[in-house]
Amino acid sequence: MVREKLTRRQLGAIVAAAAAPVLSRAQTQPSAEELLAAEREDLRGAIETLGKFDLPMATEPSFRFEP
Amino acid sequence: MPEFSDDIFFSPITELNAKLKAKEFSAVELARAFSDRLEKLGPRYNALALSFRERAVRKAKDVDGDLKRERYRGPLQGVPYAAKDLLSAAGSPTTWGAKPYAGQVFDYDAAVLKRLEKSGAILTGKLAMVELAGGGGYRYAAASLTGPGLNPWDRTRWSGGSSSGSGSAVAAGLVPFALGSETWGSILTPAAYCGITGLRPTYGLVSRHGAMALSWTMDKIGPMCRSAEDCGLVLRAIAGGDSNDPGSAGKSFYYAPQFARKLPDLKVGFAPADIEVWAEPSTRPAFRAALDVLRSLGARMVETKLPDFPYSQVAGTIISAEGSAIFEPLIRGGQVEQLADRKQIAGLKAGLDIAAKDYLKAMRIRSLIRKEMRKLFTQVDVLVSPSCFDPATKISDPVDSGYVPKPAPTDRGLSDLGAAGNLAGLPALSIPCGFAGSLPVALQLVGRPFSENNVLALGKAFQDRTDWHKRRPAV
Repeated sequence: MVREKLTRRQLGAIVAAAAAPVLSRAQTQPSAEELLAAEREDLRGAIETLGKFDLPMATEPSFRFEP
Repeated sequence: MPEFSDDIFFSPITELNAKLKAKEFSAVELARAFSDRLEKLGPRYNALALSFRERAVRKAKDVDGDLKRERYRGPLQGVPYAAKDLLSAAGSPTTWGAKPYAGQVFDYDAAVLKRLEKSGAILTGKLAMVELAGGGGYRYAAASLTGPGLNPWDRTRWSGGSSSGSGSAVAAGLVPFALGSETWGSILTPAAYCGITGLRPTYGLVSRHGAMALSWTMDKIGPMCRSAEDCGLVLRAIAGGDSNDPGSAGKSFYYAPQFARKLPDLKVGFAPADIEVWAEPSTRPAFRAALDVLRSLGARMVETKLPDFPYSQVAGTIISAEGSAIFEPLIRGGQVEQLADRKQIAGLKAGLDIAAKDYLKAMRIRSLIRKEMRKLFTQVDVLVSPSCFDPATKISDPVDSGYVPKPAPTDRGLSDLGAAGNLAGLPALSIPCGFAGSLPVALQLVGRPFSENNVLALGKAFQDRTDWHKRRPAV
């Protein structure tokens, strides 16, 4: 086994290099708040589409669902 | 113990039962052989949630006693199976595929397990699933306590969800059949991706007592098997009224393909755009050939399309509202953060914001969808369309990264049949119909409510003419 003594600067560079892909992935991933906002936006879009649907007033919801 | 070949592990239910009756092997030997295989190969596909070896051997001893006394209980007697881990089994963990429920134990069996117990089938294990059946909407196949479901045809591909383990286990011959559940696509997708036959029964035909609820008005439990015939045999055992399930239709099912409509009397609706526009190009030759087989069987093929409704938005709103209401304690209590998929966490939280008027609007549009689907089924007996428009997605890709036709198609054909069929509670059978490269593709056959015998008869006729359902992956 080869033992090589690293300087603090070399060690720092290695740690930084190893962490770089993880950091970059973390930076490209949306935060929890951004994900929640996106989900809310998706739902808002779906509900907006439902809102545009012309529904006869007498239409009742399927409470007791039967196919 | 006799040597069990692959031919046994991939045998249809009726053959296994016949061999048991002929005493070629005992139920205990068969249960041990399938348990060995499930324990050994299940983890290879992230398909196994929990082995029930001891329970299986105990039950198999009883079955052997019955067989010795010639007390026959039907075609499932002595046949091993496994169940999606959203079904409770007394005294064992039922995780719903989700970390917050990893230690959850019920003291009763789900109604479907009790029914299968009565028919003599032998539960060998619980199978992996997408956490909480994916109710919040998930982005990656890894959204599961047991990791991403791996496809036996290609382990770099997803087995589909949310009944991922059920799809993989049947495809790899780890069980002769499995139980899955579907709210929107969770039986048909893994059945299609894994090249097996899956049946989504009519809403209310199979009791959900003891099953995790995701959407009270859309959840269904159904069989995932090697053939349409096997699906019919399992459905016969699990169907029936149950006062413990408020959605139960109180109906039974008798598998009788011989009394189904004759194929030349059957009008089969299809939409050319499904294949020529919506389907991913590599899948199209298989779908075209499959429609030719249906024609050659004498079925009358009729061009049709779905009535115009915002199906996906209606289904998405209902599932989101009901699912978030069901899991409100999990969300409010903060344990939702333990889920594996961040999109799923956000989706469940967002669902709590749906206003009553919007949920009701979705349910009112759903009433019209049901009415219009009933009208459509006065013109056709069965609708046929690809179960999925793509072969299985790569494990590393988002689950919604499939083929998107460009420019956006103007002809919707039957492309929304998955959402429409689930909203209207219609039965659907997914049958393998070929390959795109090394990956299976499948057709869905959708019928009127409680017309399971018709779709099963058409599926069986297709499978009598083809051998796609008999193909096996290299396990």
